[in-house]
This record gives sequence, C-alpha cells and structure tokens, in this order.
Amino acid sequence: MSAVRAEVFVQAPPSPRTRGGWRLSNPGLWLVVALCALYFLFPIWAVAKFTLELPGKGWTLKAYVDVIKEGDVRHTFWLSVQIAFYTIILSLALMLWTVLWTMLKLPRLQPVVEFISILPYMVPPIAFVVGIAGVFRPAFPSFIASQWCLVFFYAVLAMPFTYRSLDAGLRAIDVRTLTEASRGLGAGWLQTIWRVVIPNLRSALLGATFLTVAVVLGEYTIASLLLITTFPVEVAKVNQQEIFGGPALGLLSMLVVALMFAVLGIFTRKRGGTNAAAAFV
Amino acid sequence: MGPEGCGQLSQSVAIDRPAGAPAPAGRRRRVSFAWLGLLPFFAYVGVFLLWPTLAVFWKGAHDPAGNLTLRTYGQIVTTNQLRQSFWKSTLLSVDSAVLGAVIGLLLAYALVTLRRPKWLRNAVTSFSAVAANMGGLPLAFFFIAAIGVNGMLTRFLVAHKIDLYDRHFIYTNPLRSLTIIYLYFQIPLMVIVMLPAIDGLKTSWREAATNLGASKLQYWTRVGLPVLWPAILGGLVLLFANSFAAYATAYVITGGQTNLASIQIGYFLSGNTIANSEQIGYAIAGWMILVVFVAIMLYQWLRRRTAKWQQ
Repeated sequence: MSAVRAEVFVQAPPSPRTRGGWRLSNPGLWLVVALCALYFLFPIWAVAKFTLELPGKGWTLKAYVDVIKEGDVRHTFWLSVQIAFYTIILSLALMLWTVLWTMLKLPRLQPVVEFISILPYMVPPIAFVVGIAGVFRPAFPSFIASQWCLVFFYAVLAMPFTYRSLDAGLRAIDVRTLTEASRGLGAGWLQTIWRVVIPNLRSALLGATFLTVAVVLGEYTIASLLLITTFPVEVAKVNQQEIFGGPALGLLSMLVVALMFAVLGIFTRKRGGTNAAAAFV
Repeated sequence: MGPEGCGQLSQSVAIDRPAGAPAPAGRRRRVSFAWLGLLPFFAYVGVFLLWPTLAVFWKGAHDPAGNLTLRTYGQIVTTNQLRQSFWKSTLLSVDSAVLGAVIGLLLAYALVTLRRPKWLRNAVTSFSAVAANMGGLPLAFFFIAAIGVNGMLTRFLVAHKIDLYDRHFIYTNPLRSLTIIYLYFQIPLMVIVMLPAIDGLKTSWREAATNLGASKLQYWTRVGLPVLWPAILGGLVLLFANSFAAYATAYVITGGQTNLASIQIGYFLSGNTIANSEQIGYAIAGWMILVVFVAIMLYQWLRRRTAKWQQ
C-alpha cells in the first residue's frame, strides 16, 4: 500500500522539474559515488595489471598458469574445498534441525537460540584460536593436529549467518502448516524435512552455503596459527616466495567469491528472498 | 502475528489433549522430549565454542604458579608494550570506524537518493557483500599492488614529485596505511547496515515536514537524524569491533611488525611471547573478547531500536 502511494508521489506531480532537479542538485552525491568507485576499483586494477602485465612479456596469463601448476597450490585448494564441503554439511544439518525444532516445538526458546547462534560474532578468530589451542592441544592432541578439525571450528564461524539465513527462510514459508500437512498425510519427520522443508528453502540454503564457502576460502587466522596449510595459508607462503603468484591467487579467490555472490543475487532476486549481504550482519 | 497465533493454537491443542487423569505426566514427558531436540546444538556450541572461549578467561585468571588471580589482566594494563598494543588497536579501530561510517553513510544515502541508473544500487550492494567479507590476504595484496613501496599509485605519485613513503605519510605511521586499507571492508559494511535504515525513512515524513514548512536542514535535524541515529551509532560500534578483531590483513601488510593487540596474540601463539608467562597471551585474548563482546551487544541493542521504525 504505502509503496504504491510513494510511487505515485514520486512520479506523478512535478515530474519533469524534479527529475531534472535530481540530476542537477546532487553533484555532491555523484562525487561520493565516483570517489568510492575509484577507491574500490583502483586496487583491483592495480593488482590485475601487476599480475597480468609481466615485465618484458606484455599482457599474459603466465603468472596465473604458473602458479596454478604448482602441486601444493592445487593440493591445498582441494583441501579447502573439501573442508568447505564438510563444514556446509555439518553446519546446515545442525542448524536446520535446530532452527526448525525451535520454531515448531520450543518457540519460547527462540531468543536464546538466536543469541547463542550469533555468539561467534563476538569472539574474534584470533582470540578464538587461543582458546582452541589452549583447550584441545592438551586434551586431544591428535584431533587438533588433523586438518579436519577445522571443519568443526569453521562450522562455529558459519553459525551466525547460517542461523539468520535459515531463520529468514523458514519465516517466509509457513513451516508449521507445511509440516503439519505433510505429517498428516503420513510422512515421517525425516521425509518431511527432506521432501517438504528443504525444497522450499532452496535460496536460504544456497545463501548459507555460499557464505560458508566464502569464509572457508578466506580464513587465514585459525588455520595458520593451528599450523594447518589450507589454501589461504598456502597463498601467504607463495606470496613470500614469488612476486606474482600470491597476488594472482588473491585476485582469483576474490573473483570466485564475487561470482558466487552474483549467482546468489540472481537467485534471491528472482525468488524475492533475503539479501545475502543482510544475513551477514 | 500469523505464525505465532498458529503456534499457540497447536501448542494448546497438544497440551489439552490428554484431558484425563495422566495429564500432568503426559505434559512433563512432552516438555523434556522437546528439550532433547536442542541437545545437539547446545552440546556442539558447548564443546566447540563455549569451552575454548571460557577457557581463555579461566586460564588468563591464573598466575604462572597456578593460583587464581586477576593480576594477569591487570598486567596487560600496566605493561607498557601491551597497553600500547591495545591503545593502537583502539586508535586504528576508531579511525577506521569513524571514517568508514561517515563515507558508508554518504554512499548509502547516495544509493537511495540517486535512483538514476537502476543497476547502480544492485551493483554496489553485491560488491559490498563481497568486500565487507574480504579481510585477509587478497585485501593485503590489492593494496600492496596499489600503494605498496612499488605500488602503482606510489610510482605514479613519485613521478609527480609526491612521495607516499616520505617522512609524513605512511612510512612513519603504519596505522595510517592500515586505516586506509581497513576502509575497504568498513565502508561496505556500513553501507549494508545503513541501506535498510535509510530505506525506512518514509517519503510521507519528508512530505509532511515540507508541507509544514520545514527546510531541508530542519527535516534532517528534526526527523531524519533522530530516526537514523541508533542505526548510525550501531554501525559505528559494529565497525569498531570489526576492525578491533582483524588480524590477517594487518599481519600480512606489516609482517607482524605493528604493535596491535591481535598481532600480540599471534606472537603469543607462535611462541614468541614478550613476557615468558603463557597466561599473558590468554589475558590479552580475554580482554579482546570482552571489548568485541561489549561492542557487538551494543550493536544488537541499537539494531533493535532501529528496527522499531522499519515496520
């Protein structure tokens, strides 16, 4: 209703004059946009030029091809992809169950679950890893030495936005009616979740998945201080040995994340879901 | 309203059903069963988040001999280098939060006001989602290529007789270059926080104010800013926490040479402690969690105040 009214007000009455006015009266705002564009795009341009225009060779993809050929780079990238995969499975299974259960059975506990889910925001990774090392190193030394331990801690880091994303997704559909209908028709709980809830949550699940991948592909602090060589740790290593390799990989990983968000944007816009960025804060 | 009412209805049905004699027993069993459903969540959070986090505080609250004391926390304040590290972290966080908030606010306002190219807002929001999330290494590489010693801008400016690495600008004060770099994720974060708040300013309020004879300035001081201030303050606090907690970028850019709280923790973990008591490391981490915790709680509270206007 109010959106319609706003639309009418904006467009109908003094249409030509305001429109011209918007353009003329806001050079300051355009300046802000232009300066921000410069600030945000210049470093990307700088790193692209640095890695693509090699001295004496002109424009070439050589730096990228060379660095991708390195065994350690590919090996650690594959490791990070696997860690991301397991993290997604773990955090989605845990949080989908928890959010769904809270909504259906214990709505009064919803604020408690929400508070706990966003707790990881309040523990900086650099302080978190101190606690992890202090607790798990003496208690479970072989667990903390294994690269797979990261899955459990990354699932913690992923919890806030997994929660937000699923919570928003479940609120948008009427879960209670859907599950009661499905249960009434004789489906079990697992069947209901698998065949009714999950298909209705596609964009929320996709959002949580991509944010998790972004976190895992970018997480340096915990992995490096636990001495586990994941992809970001390897990138830092490469950066110390070669001039072009590190920045090339940095730009590539940023492009991968950007691509994921672009796909997500197309998905959520079509379905009118929540913005992925909003789930992040 | 809808789902809640629904919930109450089916809950009361569930509770009322065993109307006969065993009602209390049936109800009790139902409640304890429902609790069990959250057990995996609580167990997981307990083991992988709360245990390590509380251990930081607990281990920090001991002296090297193993006695329970708060002296180590005090030591952070009294030891010169450690106090300095927190002070520098605070300075960096305040600088980057204030600058990031002001610029982010302006950018968000521009996006809402300039409806001209329709793609502009979508492009900036999508980019913000990527950039706000991009701490760490790529960011460090971007800026080394741009304003590092051999960076593109550095060389360009040197050709025009301006030296970024002169006495004044970057070289003598690494905090200044870190501020510039942190803005790369601070501004987008502020944009993400502020966009819904600015969208919440209803056109009708502006029209009402204009009809009552308010000037543009009066509209902002009497209507716009009073409505927006919880969101702005919230954004500031969030940005502060965000910068205070950052580690990877600062570590890669300065090679661990800057005395920031997060860098000190990194030293401690890799075994290069300044003091030879490991409690110090826990105590620094404890202080840091405390600062960020308070900031985020404040942000959450302010966010709820903002949400009041966005209905």
